[in-house]
Amino acid sequence: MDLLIQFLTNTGYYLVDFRNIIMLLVGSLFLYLAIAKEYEPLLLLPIGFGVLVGNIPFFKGFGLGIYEPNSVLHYLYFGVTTGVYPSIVFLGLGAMTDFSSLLAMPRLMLLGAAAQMGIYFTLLSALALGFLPREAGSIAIIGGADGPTSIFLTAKLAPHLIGPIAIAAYSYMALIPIIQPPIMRLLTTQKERRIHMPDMREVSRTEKLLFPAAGLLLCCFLAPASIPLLGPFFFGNLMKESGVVDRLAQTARTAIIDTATIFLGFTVGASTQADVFLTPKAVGIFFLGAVAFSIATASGVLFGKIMNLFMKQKINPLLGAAGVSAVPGSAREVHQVGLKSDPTNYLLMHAMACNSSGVIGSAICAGILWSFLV
Amino acid sequence: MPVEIQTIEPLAFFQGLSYIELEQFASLLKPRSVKKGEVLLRQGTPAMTFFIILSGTFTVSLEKGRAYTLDKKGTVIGWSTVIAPFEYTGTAMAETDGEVLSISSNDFFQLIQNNNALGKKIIAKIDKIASERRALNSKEKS
Amino acid sequence: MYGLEAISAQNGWAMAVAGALIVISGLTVLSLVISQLHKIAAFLEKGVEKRSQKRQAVKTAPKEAVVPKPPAFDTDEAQSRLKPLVAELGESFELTNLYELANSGELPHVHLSIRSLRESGVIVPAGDGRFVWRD
Repeated sequence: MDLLIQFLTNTGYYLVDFRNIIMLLVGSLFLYLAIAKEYEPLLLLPIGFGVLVGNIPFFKGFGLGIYEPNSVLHYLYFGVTTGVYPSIVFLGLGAMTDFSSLLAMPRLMLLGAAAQMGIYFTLLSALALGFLPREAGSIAIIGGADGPTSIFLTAKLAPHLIGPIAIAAYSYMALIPIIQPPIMRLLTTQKERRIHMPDMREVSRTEKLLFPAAGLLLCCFLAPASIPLLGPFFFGNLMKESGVVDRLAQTARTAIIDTATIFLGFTVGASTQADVFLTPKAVGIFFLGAVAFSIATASGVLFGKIMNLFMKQKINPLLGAAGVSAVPGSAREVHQVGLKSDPTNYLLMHAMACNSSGVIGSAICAGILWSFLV
Repeated sequence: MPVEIQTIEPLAFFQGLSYIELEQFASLLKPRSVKKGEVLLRQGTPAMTFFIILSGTFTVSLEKGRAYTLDKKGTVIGWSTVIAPFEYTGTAMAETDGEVLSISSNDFFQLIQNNNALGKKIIAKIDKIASERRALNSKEKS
Repeated sequence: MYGLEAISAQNGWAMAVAGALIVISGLTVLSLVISQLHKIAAFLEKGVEKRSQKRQAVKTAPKEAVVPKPPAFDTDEAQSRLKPLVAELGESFELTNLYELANSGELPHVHLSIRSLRESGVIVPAGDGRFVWRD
C-alpha cells in the first residue's frame, strides 16, 4: 500500500499546480497556431511541444528536468546555453540567403540599420522598468526580431531569462502578420504605399562572391563579439555562392539548420518550466518585447520617409518594416501591404534586401550589447 | 516523394527557368492525389498553398453560381497565395480523380529568399495568370 | 531604481546612443562598400579575362592541332530516333509523354536528345503547353 501511495504522490497528477496548467495551455495554443493556422510552424511546433514536455510535473531530484544536471534535456539544452545552436542556425541561414537584391540596391541596407532602433529604445525602457543592465540588453534584442540572436545574447548576458525571452521573440515573430501591417498603414499615406521601386540590375557571380568576405571583415572588425553569429553566416553564404561545395551548402541549408532548429525550439520550449517561467519578470519581458517589435517596425518605416526627404529617387517607406530580421516573414508582409494598396506594386524583392540587411544589423547589435554589458 | 525535373520541365508554367531553378522549385513541390469531389481550396479562406494541375478536371466556382473549368496540364490554381488579395477568390473542386503539385506559401517565400531572380520570374508569371483569370472571371460575369 | 534615474545610473543613454550610432555607421560603410563591389568585380573579371586570353593565345595553335574537339551532340541521329515515336503520339504531344515513350524504348540520352531538338527548333511549343514536330 505504501508503495502505491508513494507511486501516486510521484505522478504528475498529484504534483501538478495551476501554473503547469497555464503553461500546458500555452503549449497547446502554440501547437494549434502551428498546425491549424500554419503560423510559423517550423518554430511554433517544436516550441509548443517542448512547452508540454517541460511542464509535466515531476519529482525533483530524479534528473529529469531541463535544469537538473545530467538529465537528457539538460544536455540537449547545452546547445542553447552555450550559443551553439544559434551559430549553427546562422550557418544555414547564410547558406539559404541570396543577397543579390541587397547588392543591386545597397541603400536599402540603411533601412535594416534603422529598424534596429527598436533594440536601443527597448534597452532604455527595460532599464527604466528596473531590469538589471544585462537583463535589459537581453530583452532589448527582441526588437531585432531574430530568435537565434535573442537566444545567443541572452545565453551570454542573462541565462536565467532564456525561456521567456526566446518565447517572446518567437511569439512576436509568429505574430508579424498581426503586429506589422497596422503600424505600416498608420505611418504611411496611400500615396507613399503606392511608390513603385525601380527594377533591380543583375548581380554578377563575382560580386556575390566578394560580398561574404567584405561583410565579414567590415562587420566583425566593427563588432568582434558578433563573430559567433556572422562568422558562420557569411561562411554559409560563401559556400552557397561559390558553387564549388554545393553538397556542403545544401546540407547546411537543409539537414544542419533543420537539426539545430528542432533542438533549439524543443529545448527552449522545455525550458519554460512553470516555476521558472511564470514570474512577474516574464510579464515585463512580454510587454517590452511587443514594444521592441513595434518600435523596430516604426523606426524602419519612419527612416524610409526621412530618406525620401533627401533622395531624388523615392523609396517606398513600407520597405522599412522589412528591416527587422524576421526572414522572410516581414518581407512577405511588406509585399502584401504594398499589393493591397496597388495591385501592380511588387515590393517583395526589395523587401528581401532590407530583410537580409536586418539579419546582419541585429547580429551586430547583439555583438555591441555583449561588449557593452559583459 | 520528390518531384522530378522531367515532370515539371515541359509544363508551360516552368518555361524559361534554368535547370538549377527547376531543381530548386522541384525540391519544394509536393505531389498530391485528388479524389473526385474533393475541395482543393475554398473561396474567402487565406491562400496558403498553390497548386499545379498534372491531371484531372477542376471546377472553380465563383459567386452567384458562376464557374469555369480547368483541366490543362500545368495550369495554376490558387494564384492568390502569392499576390493580392491573398485569399482564394473561388472554390476549386475536383470533377474527376486527378493529381496536382502543391507548394505552400512558406516554402514559396523560402524559395525566393534562396534565389531572388527566380522569385522575380515566378511573380511575373503568376501576375500574368492572375490577369488572365480575372479576365475570365469578368467574362463569366458578363 | 526606476525611470530616468535608473537609465542614467546604468549608463543607459550612452549605451543606446553609442550602440545606435555604431550599427548605423557600420551598415552605412558596408552599403557604401557593396555599392562599389561591381567595380571591383568588373576589374577582377577583366584581369581574369586578360590572363585567360593570353594563355589561350599561347596554347591555342598547337592544342587545336593535337586535341580533337569533343564530338557535338548528333541532332540528326536524335531526330531519326525520336521521329517515329512522335508519329505515335499524334500531331501535338506533351513532352512528358515523349520522355516516357523514349525511356520505355530504352533510347540513349533521352533528356539530351529532346533538349537538343527543342534548341534546334525541331520540337516547338504549340502554345498550350503541348509541342509539335517541325522537320
